[in-house]
Amino acid sequence: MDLSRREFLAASVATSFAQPFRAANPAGDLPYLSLAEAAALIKARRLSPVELTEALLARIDRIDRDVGAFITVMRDEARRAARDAEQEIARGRYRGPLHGIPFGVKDTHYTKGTRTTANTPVLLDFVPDFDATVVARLKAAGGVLIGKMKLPEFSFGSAGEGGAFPDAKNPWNLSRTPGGSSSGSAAALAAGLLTVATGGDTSGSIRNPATFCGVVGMKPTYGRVSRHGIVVISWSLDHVGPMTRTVADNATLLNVMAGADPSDDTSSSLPVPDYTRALGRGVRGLRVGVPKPAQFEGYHPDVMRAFDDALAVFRRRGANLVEIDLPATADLIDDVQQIVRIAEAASYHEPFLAAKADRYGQTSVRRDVEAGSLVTAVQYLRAQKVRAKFTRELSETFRPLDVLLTPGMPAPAGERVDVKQPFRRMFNVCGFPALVLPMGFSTSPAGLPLGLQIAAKPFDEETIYAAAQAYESATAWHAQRPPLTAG
Amino acid sequence: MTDTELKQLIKQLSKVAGLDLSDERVERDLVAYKGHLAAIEKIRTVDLPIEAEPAQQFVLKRQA
Repeated sequence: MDLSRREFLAASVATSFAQPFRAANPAGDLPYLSLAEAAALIKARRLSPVELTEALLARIDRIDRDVGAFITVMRDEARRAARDAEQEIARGRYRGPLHGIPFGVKDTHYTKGTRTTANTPVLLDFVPDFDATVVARLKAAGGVLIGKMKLPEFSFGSAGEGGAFPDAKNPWNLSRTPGGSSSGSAAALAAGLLTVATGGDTSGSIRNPATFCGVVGMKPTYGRVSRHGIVVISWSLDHVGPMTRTVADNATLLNVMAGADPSDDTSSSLPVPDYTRALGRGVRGLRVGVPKPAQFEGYHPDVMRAFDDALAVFRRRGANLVEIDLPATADLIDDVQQIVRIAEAASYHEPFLAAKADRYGQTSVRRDVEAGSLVTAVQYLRAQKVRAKFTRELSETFRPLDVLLTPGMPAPAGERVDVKQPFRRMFNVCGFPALVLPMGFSTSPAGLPLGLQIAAKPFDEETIYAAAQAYESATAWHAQRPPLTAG
Repeated sequence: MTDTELKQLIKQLSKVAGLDLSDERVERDLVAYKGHLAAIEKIRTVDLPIEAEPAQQFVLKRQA
């Protein structure tokens, strides 16, 4: 039996604790509902997935002309999935917190029957015949896929034009970069165009845009989330992770995304804990490592002011902060990452360079992978040897620590600085998990989001979420909205 | 190496790599290749024992 939306809402009014939806949540707030808030309302049948989806689609029509976060908006599919969710929930078959929740995925994620372009003319007509494992998991959890999100061509670089579509803009300042390469996901979350999203991170591509757009982005441990059905940059460095507006939502989304996948040989078979159980643990007694000040040479003063304030929050909440030395190999780990990344990328691109070289966009991608094709096996393997050495040494550094704190990015969006250590690619090289969350705003230039990065030992995302949620609950940065979308 | 020598090298290596780059492409790729070589030079400065193994993963599955 199919239930109409009117019947769904009528049924909701009949439930013991239901209240008319609009009294509790004005329609204007729907796009900024957190996953937790939306899920609670949907579960209680006070909010229809159709209503939430339509609110976001209407906002995309109004706002995305300016932000440009989407490559493909899947209106028909989203409406169909929202109706299905609505009817299923009305029948009493509630699947869990993702049921009826609109989400977007980076346009590197294969979507069955819907083009997956990676923002390159090379793949402009590519329509996969299966869903990436992550997409399949989110759909199986009842999520409503709204669209495919922007990125620079083939996810190369942190920002840039010249791909098949123009890159997204930063909702906090449309003249600034949103960061990248998961630019569309971060920009859409900041602009209230999605409830949750996914991203990919090979060189910091979740954490960079999450910082610049003032949202929460997690690069999980390598192997924690399947890479099956994701357009590749570098098999051994690529990570897929959740992007959200709150830490709790991020933990909830990772619960769904994580887990072993027989289609990805590098996915871990370790059990997936319920990450939301770590929320509320606090940081009392937590052993927090902070790199010595010299490591932050060249960082923007607004970033360091906000970082010092963040450290003070951790101290006040009872964490034990200790200054740490990084392994000597950390100074050249970005070089190691460059050689591993470009050699693996060149291998992935080999058939494209052979058959479609003239179709690359007006970016540096073709140039970089052609030059990467000339890196020898011995050079690649030497980089992999140094990678192994660094990972062992960093493991020793982490031994007396629970988490390591750094700024998410050395400067606000679009500001150029020359720094010794950006603390981004090192976590792709070693595969340790790292999350960024909002840490305040710049004053010069004014009003740009800043981020705090929290890294931990492999497969200890729980401690990251505990620390992040403790900081988030002591601040209000995550509740700020870009002026673009005020009102 | 001079840029001219590097361009000749790129031209030859590209043949080995199956790309056979045009002169125009060699010119464009030069800056990227120089960047890769600079990174490789820095990596060479790390002392590694003869026993050092690369961080490669081979994941074998039990077969029925």
